[in-house]
Amino acid sequence: MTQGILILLFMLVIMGLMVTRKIPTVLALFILVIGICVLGGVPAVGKDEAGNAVGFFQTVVQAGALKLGDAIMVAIFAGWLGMVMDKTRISETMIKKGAELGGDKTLVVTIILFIVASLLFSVVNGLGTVIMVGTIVIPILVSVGADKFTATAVMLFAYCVGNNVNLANINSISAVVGAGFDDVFLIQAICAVGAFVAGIVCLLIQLRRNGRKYAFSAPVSEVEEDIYEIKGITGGLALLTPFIPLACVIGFKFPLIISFLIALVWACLCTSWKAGWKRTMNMLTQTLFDGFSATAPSATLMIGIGMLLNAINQPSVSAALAPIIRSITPTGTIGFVLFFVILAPLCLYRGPLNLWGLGAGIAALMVSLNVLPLNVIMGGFCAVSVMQLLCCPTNTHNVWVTSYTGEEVTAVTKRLLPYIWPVVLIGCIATVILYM
Amino acid sequence: MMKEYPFPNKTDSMQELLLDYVFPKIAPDQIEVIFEDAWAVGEEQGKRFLKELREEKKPVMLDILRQKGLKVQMKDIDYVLGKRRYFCEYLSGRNLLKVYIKSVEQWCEKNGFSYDDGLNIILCHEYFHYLEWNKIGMVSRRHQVPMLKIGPVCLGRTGIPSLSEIAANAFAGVCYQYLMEGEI
Repeated sequence: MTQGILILLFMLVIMGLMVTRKIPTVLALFILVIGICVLGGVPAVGKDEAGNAVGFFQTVVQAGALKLGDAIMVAIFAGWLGMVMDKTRISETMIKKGAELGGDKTLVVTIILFIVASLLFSVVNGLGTVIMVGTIVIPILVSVGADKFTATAVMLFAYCVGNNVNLANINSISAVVGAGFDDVFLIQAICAVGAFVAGIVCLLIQLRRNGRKYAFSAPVSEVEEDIYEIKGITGGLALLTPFIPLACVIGFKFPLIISFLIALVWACLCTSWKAGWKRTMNMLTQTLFDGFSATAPSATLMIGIGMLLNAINQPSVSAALAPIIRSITPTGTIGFVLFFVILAPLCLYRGPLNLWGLGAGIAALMVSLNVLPLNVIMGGFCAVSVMQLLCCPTNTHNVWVTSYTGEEVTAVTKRLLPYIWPVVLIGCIATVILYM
Repeated sequence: MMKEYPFPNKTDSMQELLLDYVFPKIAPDQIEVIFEDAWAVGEEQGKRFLKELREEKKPVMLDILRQKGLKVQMKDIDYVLGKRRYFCEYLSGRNLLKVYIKSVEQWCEKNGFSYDDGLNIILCHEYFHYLEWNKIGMVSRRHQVPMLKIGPVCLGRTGIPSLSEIAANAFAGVCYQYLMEGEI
């Protein structure tokens, strides 16, 4: 028991260092992993009677780094597609076409761009793509009369909605928790619908409160040369690119990476006639590297989470933590809903309910205890993850969006919490109905 | 290409229309007509406004806006969002005006105005939006384009956002002539 308490205290210290931004999350996870192993009494090196390595150098650091390799690879290919959509101006065209539809109707433009951005984030994720989409969407929203907070909310809600049904993200959650892809997708899709409705409510309230915004403004730089054509029939077909991975995976049950590659080839075929072969090849190479770079933060996070999962699953560590986790794990339906809904803010600041922080370890422990079915634990964590995706001030996309619009990141968190909390409840109720 | 620090004249205002997201939906033979109509509305309102203020030698727009009940926030920043610099904003629902001082200072310097004179011209532009919202109706709705056009099929109607800016520029242009040159 003492060992377990020490491990939890150490987790809290590391969480404190993350919250106060003394250590970046990606590095904090590595320290957390080593600390858990040391406090849990796992030897650094060693072999069991059968000659298998049991030291944490091999079983936690080495094996853990590779544990989520599949999810990391999927994320990289998704990142590549995102960069291709950026370079070929598919994303920009989708967003501008959306703005065209609304004209001078601020509410219509805002809702259309919310839908378009959500759609884009359902295919691509990571800070690079948030910047790519945000630098187009936010200025359009502000120029058609939305205020800064509304523009911020549109971007964050769109990321939340899109990421909930993002195939690479679902694949990662499935790998972290150990639940089936389709089971995760179902709960995530329900949460995405909930977050979408919450987003619309937020936008309606904001636009009603602020009215229309007019501005005396001017462009600060010249427009870049347009070598990729998004015109005519091929242009229209190019705009289907974000749907292709979804159709391949959901409709044809293709594996994820080949689905992203098909979308990538489709995007090039539909846009690159004017650019020519050589430029397109250069663009593909450059975007591949950029895709790697854009995915690097989440890939690094997944390396750390893989290690954390292996650390928590070390027999001596899980034995030390099991009594504590068992005492707090809810058993009944009401207990489950109350636990995840009331404690939902613990997903913020990489807290114990955040699957991309300490929560990965807590979820793994809960699963190993067999108190609740696997899919129920998965559903609970997926439900709270909508709050984390939208509100967590440590999310790099929250930090970027708020600094871009000139808002304060924690102030935005406070203002968005009331809209997203009911969605956590919806996610928990859906989990109870489907899996309990 | 639109200027980085545009003066509210006809040439720069036409750029507003050319860069409008709905511009591709405007029939080519209507571009000039629509522009001139929006410009005429702004000029007409500008002249009317100055006639109402005839007794005042040089109206101070900041005072006028405050008298109309607008809250004014002065923010000491150069506000650049994406590829656009914002000088001043008017939020109709909150009756709030935000002035970005450092942006305005740059605009004044590039256009050869003192800060007070330059701000006065920019506030004339914003005052027109106040009139649009509270008195004369939205100029952007005077001409409408289809929301969605697929071949011959047109769905929905929506306004042209830049028309409001064009009319506001015409309004500010008339005020400028009076403020700086004493002409109406």
